[in-house]
Amino acid sequence: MSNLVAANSKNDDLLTKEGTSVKQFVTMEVDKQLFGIPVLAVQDVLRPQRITRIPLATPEIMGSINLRGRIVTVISMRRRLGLPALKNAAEDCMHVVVDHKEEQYSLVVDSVGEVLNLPLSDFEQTPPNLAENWHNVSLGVYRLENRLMVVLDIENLFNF
Amino acid sequence: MDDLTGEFLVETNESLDALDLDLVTLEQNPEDKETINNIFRVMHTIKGTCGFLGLPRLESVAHAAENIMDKIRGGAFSVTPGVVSLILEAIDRIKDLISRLEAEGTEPEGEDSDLIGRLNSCAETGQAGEGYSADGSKQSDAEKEAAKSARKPAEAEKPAESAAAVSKTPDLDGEIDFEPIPAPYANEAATGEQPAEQNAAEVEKPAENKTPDLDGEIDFEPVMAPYAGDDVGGDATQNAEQAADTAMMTQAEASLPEAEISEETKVEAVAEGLKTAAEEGGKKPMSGQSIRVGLDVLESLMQMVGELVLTRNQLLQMTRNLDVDVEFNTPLQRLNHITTDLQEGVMQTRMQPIGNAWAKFPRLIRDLALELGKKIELKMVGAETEIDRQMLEAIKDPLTHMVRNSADHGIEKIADRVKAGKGETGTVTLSAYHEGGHIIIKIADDGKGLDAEKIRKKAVQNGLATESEVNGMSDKQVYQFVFRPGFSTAEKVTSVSGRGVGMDVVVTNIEKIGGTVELNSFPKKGSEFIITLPLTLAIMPVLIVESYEEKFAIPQIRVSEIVRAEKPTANIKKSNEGVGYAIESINDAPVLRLRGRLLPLVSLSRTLKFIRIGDEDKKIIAGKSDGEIEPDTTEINEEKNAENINPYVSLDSDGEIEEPFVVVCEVGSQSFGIMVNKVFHTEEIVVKPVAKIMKSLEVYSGCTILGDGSVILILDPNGIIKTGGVLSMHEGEGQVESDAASEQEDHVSFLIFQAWGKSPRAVPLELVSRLEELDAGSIEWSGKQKVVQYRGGLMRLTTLDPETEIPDTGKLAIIVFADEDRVMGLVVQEIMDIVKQKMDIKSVTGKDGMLGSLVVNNITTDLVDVSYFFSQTFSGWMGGDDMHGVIAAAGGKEKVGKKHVLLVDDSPFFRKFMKPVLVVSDFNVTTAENAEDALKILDDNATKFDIVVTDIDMPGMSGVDFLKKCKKDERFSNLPFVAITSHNESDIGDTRQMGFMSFVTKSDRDKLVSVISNVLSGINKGESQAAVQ
Repeated sequence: MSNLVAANSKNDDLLTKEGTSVKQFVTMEVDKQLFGIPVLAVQDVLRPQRITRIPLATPEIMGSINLRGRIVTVISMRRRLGLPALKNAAEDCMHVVVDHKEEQYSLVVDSVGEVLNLPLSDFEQTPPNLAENWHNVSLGVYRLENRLMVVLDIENLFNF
Repeated sequence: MDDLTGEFLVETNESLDALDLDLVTLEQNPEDKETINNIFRVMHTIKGTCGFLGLPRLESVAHAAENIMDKIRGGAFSVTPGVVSLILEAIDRIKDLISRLEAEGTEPEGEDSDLIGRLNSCAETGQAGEGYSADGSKQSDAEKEAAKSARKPAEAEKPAESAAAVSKTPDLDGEIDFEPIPAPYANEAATGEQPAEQNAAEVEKPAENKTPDLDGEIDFEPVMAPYAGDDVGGDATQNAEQAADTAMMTQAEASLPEAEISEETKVEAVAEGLKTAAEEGGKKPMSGQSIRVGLDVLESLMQMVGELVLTRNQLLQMTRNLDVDVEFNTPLQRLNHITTDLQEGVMQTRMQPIGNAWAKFPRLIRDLALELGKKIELKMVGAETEIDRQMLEAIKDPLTHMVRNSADHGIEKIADRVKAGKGETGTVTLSAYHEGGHIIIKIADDGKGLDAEKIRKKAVQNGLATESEVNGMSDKQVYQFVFRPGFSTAEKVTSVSGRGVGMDVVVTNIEKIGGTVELNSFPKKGSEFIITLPLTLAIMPVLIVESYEEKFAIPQIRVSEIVRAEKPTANIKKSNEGVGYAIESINDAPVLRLRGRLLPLVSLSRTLKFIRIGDEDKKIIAGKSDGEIEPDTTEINEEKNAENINPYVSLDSDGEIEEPFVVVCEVGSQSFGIMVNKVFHTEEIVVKPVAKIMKSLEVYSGCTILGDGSVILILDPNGIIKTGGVLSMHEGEGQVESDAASEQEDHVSFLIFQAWGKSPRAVPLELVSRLEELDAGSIEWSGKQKVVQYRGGLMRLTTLDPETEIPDTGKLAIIVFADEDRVMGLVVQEIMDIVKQKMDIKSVTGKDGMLGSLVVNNITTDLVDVSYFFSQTFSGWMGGDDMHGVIAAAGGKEKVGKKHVLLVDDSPFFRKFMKPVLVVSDFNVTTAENAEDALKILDDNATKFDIVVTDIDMPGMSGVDFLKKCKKDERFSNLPFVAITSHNESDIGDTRQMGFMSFVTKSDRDKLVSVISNVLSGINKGESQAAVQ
């Protein structure tokens, strides 16, 4: 990314050589849908982990993992978005660890993709015809070449 | 607010807190030089610093108080409770000013000339002055007026005095004149007491009626008995610290340029401070240096050490698995030791002596005693016991509440105590000690204890339980109601307590920090609260258990014991012979018989809703919900084992219980067992909180990482009960005791025994007086009758079969039956069991002495006719020799269908033995002790009864009057009455005339049955035989 210069060290905005502002996102897939989380919000990306189940917890909560001595609650993105769960979810997935209100959470997704630099100009408001539970966790949509990437709203992700 | 003022506030607050204690000590030991000096020093320091910081109000008040102390120090007058109260008032004023200073940043507006005036007046005269009578309690207005008028004109000099005080040197020994009080003032103080102060005043009468000495000194009469002087010693560290701090403070003063205090005073103050510091330092061993550290620093230290502990555990785990002697084993061992020491050291920093929480109590009790007009002594034992700082904070309020409770509700008024034969002074004892990884704190009082009846009434009143429920509870269970919200049996709300908002909050707060509260009470003797707390919140020992391959942790403190259960069987007898404990069920709720009591059980896997899949391979999946299960599998109830009594207890393919280990936990006063598959070891783990998302899950109280790196959840027994599983236990429900199980009318308790016969025998348990085991050698002969000396009388012995040889050596099992003064012992071979079941007599044997056969535990058992043997043993009992078996009589009669008989007789024995006789003859029987009860029963069940059989001679209403009353009532006018009596007919007159259908003598049991049948069948046939009146 040699053609990029940090415009503002505090946020993810970067300046391209042309002076346009771009944001960096970590991309991930859930049931073939592409999602993105601002790069600085992502603490960790992990391979499949040994998850301790938590009986009686709501279905979105898959369990807990031990991350370098800290206990991190694991949320299944599929369930959170109302999508059918995979049989061997725990073994064949990726973890994206984010911070929320001083606690760490690990989001289980099908796979994690690249870090993309996306120009603001490609950003659109969330389409109003999106299902409500998707609407609540979406900050907006980026138009990529062949696909659309939904920007995840971390703040609201844990209201369930 | 600048740093200096901030520091001043912190230190002054600390000093003032300690002063409360000091003053109470002083009151007890008015000659204690050290305490006097201490108090003086603190006042002096406050005064000095305030002057320097520009806080005139504070300075003046402190100065005035310092004056008094100085006078006392110099021996100008002695300490009276009034003086102490006055100084306490000054301290309170200072505290108030300081808190407002803290809040607003500057000293509040206003002035304290009134208080200062009184303080100075006291300094002059040694009298507490207006506001306080000699015993320290507040005076009425009239008294205040009287005192005012008697005050010395010396007051006018005071303002000038206080102004100049700042620059004066503190050394005022002997310089101020002491003036005698006029006698009238002293007397006026004694009279005109308000009723509220009556008690305190009464106590003080002896002193007050004395004419005061000319020099005006009032003799000192202790209000409270001296209490343990532990705290004076325990304060040593605090004093030393304070001294050092004072020294620091005064040094700080000296270093700042804007000193308003003159050089002289400054130097003096410093010298004073250092001197006392040196004094203290010389005397006490703990004169060590101390340093202030912010709590947040300690917190983060603690956290890091926690992490270190976990990481060390992991490393150790890894090396354990390695076996091979790798190079880094040695340094790892060292790391292990260092970590342990570090952990202990850091935990130490968080530990404080519990006396710190108790510091305020002496004053609290003193004030309460005065306010309530009682005499209360406070004992504190084990104040040096150390407790985690966080926990100290958490229990301060609960402790205060409980102490107030004890003083207010527990300790009785002086008069009541004397009446009860106790000493006038009540004692509240606080004690603390370490035991087995916990801290036990006890608050005991020797007051009047809890009134179980009152609590029962209140509980019913508040709708917390029904009357029958509370009556079924033991006293100890009833006491637990006190912990419910809104509960208070206080007649009126005092300012101290009674509002009913206390105890449940106390319990919640204590449980929040992982502790438990227990309440014991002994009527008229006192009550005791016992609080159990874990040593520290962060690191605690837990028991690791496993449920279908998921491991969980249960805090060690909540586990009473672990028991292994055996598979449930239908035959109770067999299981009693087994080694383990059998699981049984009451209406599908699994329970365990544990040492004679029943323990409710909860299956952990079911509570956590583990899903059972399939039939063949019975896979149990934890924590997954429906949607995650593959669509082709179905949930099947796998309990196809016909032998399994209880569908909630899973059996595996061998018929063994899958969750055989029962972890017994206590919740409140209730025990219950959690069934798990496996039990591992206990481990010390670092508790981490559950994620906020899961706060609503009550079953978990936290989570942790084990040595092998896996995450496990920590269970909360309270939560497990609440979440239910199979049982829903609500508070107050007693332990399920087999005897208290649903009362069914036709279930009777039988005592089963062997008596040298082929089959076992049974007697109704009601008739049994006692079970005894006597030595065969103690049998003696009285004529032809075998007897033993028993409880001061002679007990006749008999056997079921006259042919049986009673062994003459060894122990004999004897069933004792008693009717008033006649005692009969039935010698048997072996007492087997007590069983409760229907009186369902199968076949009538017609044999003398046997009523028939019952089926008990699938075995035919002979039901013994006790009255037969009684009559035999005491021939002439009840006046009859009639030996006809009742059965013979009943057998020949027409069956009239099951009629309901009301049997009224004041002899319990007669009722008890007559009932089975009637039941055997196919009647339903209800008994009543007297006519009044009988009337009530009739009233409630007007149409139920077919005939009334009543004794004539009864206490209260006689049988005749009973009959008359019923005849008057149109509901019962047609109800046939049969009279029974121990007399002959001629003695009572014509019963028929009175309205009885017939009459029978008590000895004529079988006749009774036939008479009843006759009467009833007569009615059935429609023949009118009744003489209706």
